[in-house]
Amino acid sequence: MTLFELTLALAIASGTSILLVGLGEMVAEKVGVLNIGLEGIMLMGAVGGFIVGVNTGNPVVALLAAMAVGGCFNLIFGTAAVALKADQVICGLALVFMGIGMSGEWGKSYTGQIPSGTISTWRVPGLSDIPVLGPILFRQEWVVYIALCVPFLAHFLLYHTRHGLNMLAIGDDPVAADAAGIPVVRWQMFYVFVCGALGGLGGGYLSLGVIQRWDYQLTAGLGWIALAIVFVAGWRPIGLIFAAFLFGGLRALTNVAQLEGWGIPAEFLAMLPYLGTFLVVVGRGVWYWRRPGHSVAPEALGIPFIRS
Amino acid sequence: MLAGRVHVVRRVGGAHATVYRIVALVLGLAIGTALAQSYVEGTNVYDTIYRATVGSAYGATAVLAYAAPLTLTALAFAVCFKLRLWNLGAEGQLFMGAWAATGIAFTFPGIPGPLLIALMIVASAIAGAIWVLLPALARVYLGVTEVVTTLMLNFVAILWITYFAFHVWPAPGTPLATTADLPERTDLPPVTIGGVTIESGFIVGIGLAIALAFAFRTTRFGYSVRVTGSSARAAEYAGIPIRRVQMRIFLLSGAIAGMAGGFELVGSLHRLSTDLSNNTGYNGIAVAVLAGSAFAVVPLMALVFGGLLAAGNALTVDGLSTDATLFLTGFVLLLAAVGESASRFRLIFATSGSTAEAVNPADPSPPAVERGATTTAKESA
Repeated sequence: MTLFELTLALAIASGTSILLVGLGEMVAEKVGVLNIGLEGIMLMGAVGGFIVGVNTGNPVVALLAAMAVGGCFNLIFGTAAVALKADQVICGLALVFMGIGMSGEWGKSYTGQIPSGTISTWRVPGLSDIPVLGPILFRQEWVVYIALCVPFLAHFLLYHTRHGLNMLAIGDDPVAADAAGIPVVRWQMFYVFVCGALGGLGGGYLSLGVIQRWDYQLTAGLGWIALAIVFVAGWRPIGLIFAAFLFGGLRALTNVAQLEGWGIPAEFLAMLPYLGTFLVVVGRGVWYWRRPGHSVAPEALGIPFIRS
Repeated sequence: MLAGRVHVVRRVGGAHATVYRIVALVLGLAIGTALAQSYVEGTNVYDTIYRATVGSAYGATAVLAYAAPLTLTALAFAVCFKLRLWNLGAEGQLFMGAWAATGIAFTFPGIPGPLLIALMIVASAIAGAIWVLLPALARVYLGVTEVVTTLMLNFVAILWITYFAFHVWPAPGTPLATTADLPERTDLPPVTIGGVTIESGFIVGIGLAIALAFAFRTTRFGYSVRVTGSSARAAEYAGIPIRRVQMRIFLLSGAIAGMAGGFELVGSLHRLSTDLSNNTGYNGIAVAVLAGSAFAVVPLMALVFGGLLAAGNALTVDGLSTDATLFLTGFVLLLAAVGESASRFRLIFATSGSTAEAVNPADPSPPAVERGATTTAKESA
């Protein structure tokens, strides 16, 4: 593979992972729940999926297990932050610690093992025969195609269905939504589970598909970037695709540059994704400064819903 | 799930926040100890924990060593939290503070010891404040969430330190990312009482906690912070320059976190490496939450949390993994957050036919509220 192809392939792989995780976060944020614990959820999904993958050899079962583990793990957050109204940022941070600790403990005996059975690839007929780009863009693991479809589904759900309207209502004014008869807490809990499941899938794809082994803390900050791209994308599902692959690309560039050694110290290259996220988040703020009419955060984001 | 039968309502008066926090903490520690005992067979966990914390001079020293930087990072978080601002970047500010202090120590070798130490601490405070400056400006003047920006800079700071430890001030003959030892003149001696060593950073932390508690209660600035924190609108009416207050709070917070790095350097470790902080910035958040962001309570909670870390560390010898300790840290933090909310809200178990039905009419297909509709129009525009 040439350097260009390698970069692109890596960009798509890590972009897919953070796209799934970011999308989970976005739907949770749409109903007003801010969960900064994505790093922990991803790790739990990664280790859970990997363990099932090694033991069953079936990647579909493994990825489903990753979703289940991620979803159930995030229900811990849901219980504390949604049902018991504890502070969402603090609970999210707690989730990161718990996730790192628990995944490290679970994965200890699986370090160095290789999952049997790889995630199968799909060829897009016709398009995959284009020289250079074809094999990279249109001969991908099926998870990639699913990840690309989910934002469109989310867009349809949010902006073209009655349930989507209800979700936006919960996120913007839960008291009014509650008065209108929408079961606020029930839907918030549901989307916390969805957030966990998608986060787990993103993590599972990382350990089973991208890296193909389990390492302690193998997400290495991807969960934080997934959190940031929701802000970067301005809470728009389709925009999230671009944000995810932009940062996937940045990360891939970092890895390739480290392999190639372009005379830039590795530490500075490794800063790129974080510095890039920082600059884009701030740059977005500068761009939208005193410009009304753009899409903004759900108004009740991060505020626990209390009836009264 | 919980909706329908169980309701969460605000407590009216009589909230004993401290009680709930202590209950949360005790519960967390009890579960943690039970967890540890289930992992470690053969040895008496309680005995190990006792000896590793309050039962020996060595243990007490370890607890205090953990508590020293924790006090400062927790104060840094608590300062920002007075305005409900999130400084999640104490980890990075600590590292940048230590970096600046190291730079001073290596650049000015001719300065006498006490002056050099003072310069290092000042530099660490300034570096910490500078490291929070951009997120603060973005938050205060552009409304960009500081939750993401302060976090991102933590990763940048650690990589920055790694670069300097490897390439600029490397220690001779070691493959690890660590600088050479600082000159001995920069060692700030600890206080030793009855075999227990108290780091200078902890004494400074206690002093700072008391000073902050006093200043926030008595000074004009403290008053404007309290007004702004409880109601930004009221502060605006009162003519308080909210943005300036927010900026000052951010910079104060960054400076305190930076000083945590400076004091770790001169008071305990004497060389810069990525091991300077083991999640101290993040653990500080847990300490601040347990203390309910009350400055004077912070050193006490830092000691309790330091005890947790010291006990966890001692139990690794018996086979408890560092991961289990990390998990426990998160669990205690979660319980602290729940305890905090339990002091403000309570659960009502409603029986059928009570308020639940009155508020929530049994309408099979509730209409989408109009507010959502307007939002959609705005979003898709």
